[in-house]
Amino acid sequence: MTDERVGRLIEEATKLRWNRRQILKRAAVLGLTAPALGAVLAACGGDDDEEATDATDPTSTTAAPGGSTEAAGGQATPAETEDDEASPTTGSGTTPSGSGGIINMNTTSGDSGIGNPILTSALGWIEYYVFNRLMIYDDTGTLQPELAEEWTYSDDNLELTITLREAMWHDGEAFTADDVIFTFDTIQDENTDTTQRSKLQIGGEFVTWEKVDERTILVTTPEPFAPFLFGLQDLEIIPEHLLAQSADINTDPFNQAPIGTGPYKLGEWQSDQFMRFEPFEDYWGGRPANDGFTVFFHADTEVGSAALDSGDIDLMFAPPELQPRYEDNPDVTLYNYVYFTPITLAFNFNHPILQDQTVREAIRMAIDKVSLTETVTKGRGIVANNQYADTGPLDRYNDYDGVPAPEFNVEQANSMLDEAGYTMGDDNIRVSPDGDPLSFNIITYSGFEEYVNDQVILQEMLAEIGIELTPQVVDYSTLESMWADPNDDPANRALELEEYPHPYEFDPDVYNELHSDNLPPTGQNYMWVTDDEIDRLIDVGRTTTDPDERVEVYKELDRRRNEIVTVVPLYNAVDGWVVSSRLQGVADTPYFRRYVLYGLKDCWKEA
Amino acid sequence: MTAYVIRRLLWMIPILLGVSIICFGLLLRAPGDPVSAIVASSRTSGSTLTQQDRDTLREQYGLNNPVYVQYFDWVSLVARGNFGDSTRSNQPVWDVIKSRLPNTVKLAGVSLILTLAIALPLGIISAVRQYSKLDYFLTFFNFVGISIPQFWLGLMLVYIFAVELGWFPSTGMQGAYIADGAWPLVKDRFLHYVLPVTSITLVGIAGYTRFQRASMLEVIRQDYVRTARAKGLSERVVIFKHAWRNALIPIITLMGYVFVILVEGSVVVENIFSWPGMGQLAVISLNQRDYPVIMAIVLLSALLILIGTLVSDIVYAIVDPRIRYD
Repeated sequence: MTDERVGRLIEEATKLRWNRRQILKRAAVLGLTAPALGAVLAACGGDDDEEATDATDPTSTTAAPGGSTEAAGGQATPAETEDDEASPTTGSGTTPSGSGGIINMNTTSGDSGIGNPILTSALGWIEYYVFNRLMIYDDTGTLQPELAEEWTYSDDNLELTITLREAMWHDGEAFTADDVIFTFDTIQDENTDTTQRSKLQIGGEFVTWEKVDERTILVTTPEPFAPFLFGLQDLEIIPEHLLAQSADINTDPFNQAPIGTGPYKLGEWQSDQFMRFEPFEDYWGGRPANDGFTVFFHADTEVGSAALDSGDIDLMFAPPELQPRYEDNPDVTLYNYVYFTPITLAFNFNHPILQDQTVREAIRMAIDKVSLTETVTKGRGIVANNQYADTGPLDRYNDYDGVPAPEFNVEQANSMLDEAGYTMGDDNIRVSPDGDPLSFNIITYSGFEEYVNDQVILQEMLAEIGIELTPQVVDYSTLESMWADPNDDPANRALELEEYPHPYEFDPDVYNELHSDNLPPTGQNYMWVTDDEIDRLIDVGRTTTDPDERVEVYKELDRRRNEIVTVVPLYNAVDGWVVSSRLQGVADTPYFRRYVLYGLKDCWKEA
Repeated sequence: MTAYVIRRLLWMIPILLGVSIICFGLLLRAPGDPVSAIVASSRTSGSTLTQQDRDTLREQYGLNNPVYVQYFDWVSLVARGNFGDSTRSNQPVWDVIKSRLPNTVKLAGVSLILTLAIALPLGIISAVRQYSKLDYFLTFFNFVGISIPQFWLGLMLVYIFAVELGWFPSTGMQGAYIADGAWPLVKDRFLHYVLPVTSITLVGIAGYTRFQRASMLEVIRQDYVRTARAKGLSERVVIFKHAWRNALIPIITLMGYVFVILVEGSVVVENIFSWPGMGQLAVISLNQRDYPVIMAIVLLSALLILIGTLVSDIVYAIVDPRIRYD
């Protein structure tokens, strides 16, 4: 069946000269797995997107201004375009001219007013563009050096030696090892309002750190801990020379006028209106290709959409429901990517009926994922069978060979339930051997129309095997408080439609939500999954620091999760960013979500 | 009168306490808390908060204390003139409100002045020329204005004048890049005000015109207006000196609520146009479960409504000598 679809897709793609994105979309509709998709891309030579090649090719006719990036070196592009002059928002007055232009974008996450990246609710744009981390995952999921030039583990994997690069703070002071030590000490300080402490902890205890010399830091961990680098790369470094004397770092004026080592300086911050970033000429990575960017605070994506249409902004995040509007618009490009973890149907393992693996297997067999994905995502989603999103940053930890797509077979699902003693009642609802009806509520959180549609479709599909579902939608805060409620009744959330377990964006560790050490109310394994083999694999995965060995451990975890049906992965939601064709140098990356935070400095605006 | 005013002022204390107890109780009964809002945002940004992180935050915000302890902590702070710190921004609540309040006062103030300047004359004309073509036209316009939801009107204005015609910016109250000098600054501010002000004013005109027309119609049928005409006064004097002054009394009483409008702003318009005012703050704070800010906004609203009602009653007594509170 799969071969037939692959063959058909190769034929269509070759005939119609599709690019990579078109192939991906079509593959999603057909429900192809990543290996099958890889075969199609290889057969069609579709790995390179023609449009993207043009845009990123340093030899193309328009080169990046600024002169510092690899792609740079060509003629400058004036910042002031006709559109800029026509746009009252972008104005024209003090806009720097003769170079890479000002990129305008928006955020709908609101203005918390906090620009100190280690504090709770700090603004993401400031974190990524004004500050640096020691290292950072790029848009391909590869760890890249930032303030750390290199890092090496000792043979026993207990000591991490970090060599720092020479860099400068925006106020001209030199960056040193003291800044790193100060940052870690401040995070450890219990008076600091931060949610970053756990990133310097293993098993709830802090690791230790010391300055070896001006350019070297030594971090010692009590045990080998692979996800530690993920935590470390999520910590921005703050300046010791500006904050060491602060009476209270939580309310220091620095928090509204941050100074970092990142590619941009914060130029102007009008509370709840916009933040203006200016290029840092002395950035260790070279001056950004553009003349800065502005982030406008918008109430929602509809407001942002109007701003994009009127030319006030150049790019914005586009949730699935907004994407059709921009698909055939010649003025913009829609960059799609999968959310890093699939949408799942999760079982509450505390529920007496759902503890029975036969019931979970029957439910999985009765779900037509291809039809569900096609209907709900209107052809945009990619069918999911594995633990992490196909084509996402954790893709390599999926075992595509060991976890085949489950068979969709309603008849067999019914037989399985019959054999296990779940008899069909007169009302077409099965009854367990104990006399309890197979009637469950399926809960999800509000804000996504897609999830509500999922519930209804699953309700219809499972009715075919005599299982009654009652959809319920609550806001996320409600759901979160239900998870932590020690008196939580499993009947109140027998099935959950959400992304469970939720890994880190770039690290496959699921200890917090899947290990039996973390059962509620003290932990976050809120679906009460308890399986010795899963626990073992998670433990091994956390202590294996060799990247290749680690991949194998998580592939085994993928197989085990599939075997005992911890969840039914349904599909991978496809998010997107809409980018004006005025922006140049935009790479067609598989993971635009991170590119916006990491790679925008290399883009510029067309004259 | 003085005794009456003092009595009313004293009554405000138990009323405000009652409002705060109800609001505090409802907020804490509502699902979620500031920490769950932070968890949600952290999850979608690719990180997660461990249980230890959550417990520390809840302790820090005092969320683990019994409800009555949390309430008394809050009341004791407020009694000392301190509304606490926003859980969203760590900044003192009063600073958060101070940064927003002027924006709302400007938007609501300009809109209100325009609304009254246009609606009152139209209401008078409509009443004086009752059943004329102009009256029918204005009545039609007013019904349309009253019927159109403000969010729809706002979105249409954005679509037509910002997206299609490109005359005005779609959002915000100022541009990020403005040339030096007074004129570019004035132009920038003016352009940003046009659409949100129009959106509030059009709906306001519809309501106030109907109200002015009705009160004017009632007055011009009174005997003293007939008497004024009978003694040969010009129509202008009859309308503006005798009729309108009395027809304004109900309008003046409405002005008591102007305080509330000026301070609380328009939730709908401020959100559509990303106007950084009090209305937008209220929505964001509710979504983020920022209890200290929500409580401050509710208390401020209640106080303004109480003061507004009192001022209305006092002004009513001043402009209508028949009314006595003693």
